[in-house]
Amino acid sequence: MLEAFKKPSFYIALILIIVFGIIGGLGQANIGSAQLVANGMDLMMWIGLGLAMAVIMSYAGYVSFGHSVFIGLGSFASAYLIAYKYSDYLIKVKMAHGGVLPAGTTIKFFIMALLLASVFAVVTAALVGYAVLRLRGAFFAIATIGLNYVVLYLVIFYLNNYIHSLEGLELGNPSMGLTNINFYWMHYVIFIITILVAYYVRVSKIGYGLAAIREDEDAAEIAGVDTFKYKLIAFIIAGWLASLWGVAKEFRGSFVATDDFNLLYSVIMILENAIGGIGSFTGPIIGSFVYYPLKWYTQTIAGVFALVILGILIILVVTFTPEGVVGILRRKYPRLRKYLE
Amino acid sequence: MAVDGYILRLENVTKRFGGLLALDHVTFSVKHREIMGLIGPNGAGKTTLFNVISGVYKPEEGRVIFKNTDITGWKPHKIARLGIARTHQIVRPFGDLTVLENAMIGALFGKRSDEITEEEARKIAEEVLDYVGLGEKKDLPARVLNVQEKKRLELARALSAEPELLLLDEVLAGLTPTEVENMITLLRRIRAEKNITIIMIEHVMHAVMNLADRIVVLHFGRKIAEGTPEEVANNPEVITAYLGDPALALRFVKKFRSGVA
Repeated sequence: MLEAFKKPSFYIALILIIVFGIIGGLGQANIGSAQLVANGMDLMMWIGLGLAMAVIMSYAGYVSFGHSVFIGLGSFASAYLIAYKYSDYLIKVKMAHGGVLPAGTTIKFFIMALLLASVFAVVTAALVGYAVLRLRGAFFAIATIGLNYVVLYLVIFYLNNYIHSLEGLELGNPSMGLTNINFYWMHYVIFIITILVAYYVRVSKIGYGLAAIREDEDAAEIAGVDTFKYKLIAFIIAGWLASLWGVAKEFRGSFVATDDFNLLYSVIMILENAIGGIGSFTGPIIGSFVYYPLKWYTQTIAGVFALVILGILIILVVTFTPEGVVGILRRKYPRLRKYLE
Repeated sequence: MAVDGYILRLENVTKRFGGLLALDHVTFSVKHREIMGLIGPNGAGKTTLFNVISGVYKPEEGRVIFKNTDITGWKPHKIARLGIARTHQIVRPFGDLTVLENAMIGALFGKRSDEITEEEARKIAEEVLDYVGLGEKKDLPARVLNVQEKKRLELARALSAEPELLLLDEVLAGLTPTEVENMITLLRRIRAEKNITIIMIEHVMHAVMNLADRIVVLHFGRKIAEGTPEEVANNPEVITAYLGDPALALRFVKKFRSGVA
């Protein structure tokens, strides 16, 4: 297993982990701007979500259009724990410590949220994957969109009927008194998990199996790949990783769990993979570095028209560079291939 | 090897597609390390038979027994891991992957899939690629290969799995005469050097008459003949159904038997 992390293609992963560690360190020491920390956090999330999608879409060739369902589940798991189940307890602890939650309690609840999110995501992905992974191409994508809405409305039903929240959408924020740098480190932990897992899946035997499935599923099966098992593993891992980012979003945001079921997240995750190049670990990372700054500037300049620009970008990418940045680099510079796994 | 010397036995294998009887109670056995030719007109059920052996189709009736194990109805990946590899009539390379990765997938998920490491798989794949003459091309994406090279890649992926039984579905089709001769040389080498039993579907008559130890002839899903190339070439029913001119068929046999032996 460790051999996988000694390949040259791991350098990019390592560089990212170091760079985002340094940004966090600067933020912790109050050097550099608060904006850098905020942008760093955003970028980590977009890379992470892109990689989560990559495991099923880019590695295995199955576009999970409703993948936002897993972000939603992760965020719902955190909201449920912090803003409902333990909200009285958290407020009490906060009062007892002069209005600030002790770091130990925060970390404990962060880990609990990650675990609950993981359980939700893995169980959902396993059950649903078992049913819909028999479908191929567009039918699989449509089925996952259906899944997104089924789970969303179950969550809304639950909130309305059992939690009696006012609008059925918000759980209310108990405000844990955390600052951006705290959120940054939470993002960073999930970032490292995502990078290591997505990288390992790509370069391990599973990665070979998934690549074979992506290129020709029937030929893969005949070559000995247990295609159904591998697709299920990929779907579960992809869902699990996305759910962790739901937790990150939920801690940082204002506990609006249902917003995170927005299909737009799926679209962006798909776009990142399309820009960067299908079939690689590096693809969605490059895709995020293209997408995020572009989104940030267009939102600043164009406001609502940012989405128009996003749409145009999708059309351009799919029309002119279906192989993506990594595909072009690999073709033009074959020597780079070993770094661009 | 099975105790009775047979590695594969088909018993009354029957496969229907709606009203079409694609395979009609086909029974034959393949001996360890022999080359069995499978011939017959288009639509005779040859590829369907391969699909039944490799698990793509489940037969309505009959049994497929590989080394004393009844594998009828098993999933293709399980059958592959038991030691049966095949090539496809229409080549199916994993186009985006390199030639080496294609062969490595054969090794990683083949006969030794439970225990093989990536390093071992790479080594086997490299050896096999050299063996089939693709060593130089190993770092190219498979999609850029020409037809002959893709056929060789199919063969490499199958051989990398270290199979005991190799199913070759028209590996010579679509090749130029020179390429056909090169491929025949390669198949002859495989027979001489590797411990592999082969069933080959082939329309290139002089190749199959020359390479095969025995031949089974299918016609409309039924086995109409089985025997040595000489016996099959002289069989009146086979001549009517498929070969056309017996003198020509026999000439193929004689020419290549004497030429090689």
